[in-house]
Amino acid sequence: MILDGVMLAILLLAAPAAGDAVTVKREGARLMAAPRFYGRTCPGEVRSGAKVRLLERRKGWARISEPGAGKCWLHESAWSDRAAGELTGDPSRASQRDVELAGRGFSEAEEARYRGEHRDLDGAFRAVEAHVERGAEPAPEAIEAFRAEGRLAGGAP
Amino acid sequence: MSARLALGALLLLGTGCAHLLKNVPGGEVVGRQLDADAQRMGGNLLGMAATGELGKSASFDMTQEHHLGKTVAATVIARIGGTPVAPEHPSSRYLREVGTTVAWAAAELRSPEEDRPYPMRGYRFLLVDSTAVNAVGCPGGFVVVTTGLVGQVRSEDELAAVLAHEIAHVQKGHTMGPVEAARRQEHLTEGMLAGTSDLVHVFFGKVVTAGADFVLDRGFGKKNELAADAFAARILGEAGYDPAALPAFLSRLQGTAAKGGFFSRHPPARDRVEALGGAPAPAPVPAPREARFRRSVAALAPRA
Repeated sequence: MILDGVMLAILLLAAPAAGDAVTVKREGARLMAAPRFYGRTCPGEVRSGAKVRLLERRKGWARISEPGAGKCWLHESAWSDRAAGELTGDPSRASQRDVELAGRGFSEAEEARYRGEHRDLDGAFRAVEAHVERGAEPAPEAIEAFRAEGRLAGGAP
Repeated sequence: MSARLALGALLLLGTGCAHLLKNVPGGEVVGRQLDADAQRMGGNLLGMAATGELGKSASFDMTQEHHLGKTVAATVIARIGGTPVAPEHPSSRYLREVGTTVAWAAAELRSPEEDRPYPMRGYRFLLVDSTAVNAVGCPGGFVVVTTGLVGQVRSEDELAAVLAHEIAHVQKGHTMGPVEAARRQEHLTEGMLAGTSDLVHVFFGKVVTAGADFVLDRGFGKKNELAADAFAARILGEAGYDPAALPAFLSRLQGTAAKGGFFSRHPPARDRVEALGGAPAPAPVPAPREARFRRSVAALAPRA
C-alpha cells in the first residue's frame, strides 16, 4: 500500500506539467476542442516527432500552445509511452544471439520473422492487417452521431 | 534468495541424474555432461544475480505491444477457426462503433497510477464468423469477437458489456502481464543455459504462445477477472449504457450456454454476478438503439 502511494507520487512528479514541452510519439493523435475523448475535434494536426508546449494540464489532457492558438487539447497518450524492458543479457556468458534476443522487444522485424516461421497464420495475419489499415476507430464526430442516435447520454460533458 | 534456491535445485538435479545414469549403458558420458551443465547453469544464475540481470524490467513499450498484439490476435483467430469478417462489412462497422464508444469511456476513467497509455494505433475490433461463443482482448488493443457470441447477446448494452470487460483487461495490463512474465522467465532460461550443451531456445515463439494461451484459454485469474467486471460496469455507466447489462448477460448464460469459449476461462458466472452486487432488471433500451442492434444482429447471424 505504501509502495503504491510512493509509485503514484513518483508518476505524478514525473508527469510533464504546464509550461513543459513534449515530443509527440504517435501518428493520428487527435486534437479535441475540450479535454475529453468524446466531442468535437479541433482543426489542425500534430505529427509524430512534433514538439508541443503544454499550457494547462487537466487529468490526462493538456491544452497546447500550437496548433490551435491555445484552444486545443491533446491526450497524454500522444507523447507518453511505457519504457521498453532493460533486459540485455550478459555478453561475457551468453552467446551473441542470446544477448540479442534478451534485449530485443517484439519489434516489427520480430513480428515478420515469427510470421515467416508460421505460414499457417498467413490468413489470420491478413485479416488483422486489414483491420489495422482499414478498420481504424471512427472520428469523434461519427461517434458523437452514433451516441446521439442511440440516446447514449454518458458522463459529465 | 530465489537464485540460491534455484542453484541448489539445479545442482541436485544435475548430480542426481549423473549418479543414476552411472548404471545405464553409455549413461556415464551423458551423466558427466549433465553434471557439467548443471554446474554451468548454477554459475550463470549466480552471475545474473550479481550483475542485477535478474531484477531488470521485462516490459514492452507501446510499439512493441502493438506488434506483439497483432501476432497474438492472428494466433487467436487461427485457433478459434471461422472466417474473419472484412472491416468494411456493416456488422464490422457497428462493432467498431460500439467498441470505440466503450473504449473512449474506459480511457476517460483511466486513473493516474495506470502506466499503460492508450494503444499505439487505437483499438481494433475484429469480427470472426464462427459458431464458437467467444470474445478475446489481446495486447495492443486488438479485440476479437465471434458472431456466435454476438448471437447470444440480447441488446447493444449487453454487447457493450462484453467489449467493456475485454477492454478493461487491455487497459489494466492484464493481457500483457503473462507475456512479460514469460519474457522474464525466458530471459532467465536464456541466461542460465548459456554455454551449456546443445539446447535450442525459441524465445518469442514461447512469448506469443503464452500470450495466446492466456487470452484465449487460461484467463487472467479470478482477481483480475472480477476487477475487469467491476471496471466494465463503470465503463458502461460512463458511456451511457446500462451497467446492469453485464450481470444480466452473465445470469442468463450461466446455464448450458455458459460452457466453453468466453466462459471457460472465467470464474463461474454466479460468482461474477454476486461480485457485481446481483442482477437488477436491465433498464429499457431506447427504440433507436434497439432498432440498430436488431439490424446488425440480423446481418451477424452465424453461417453454421
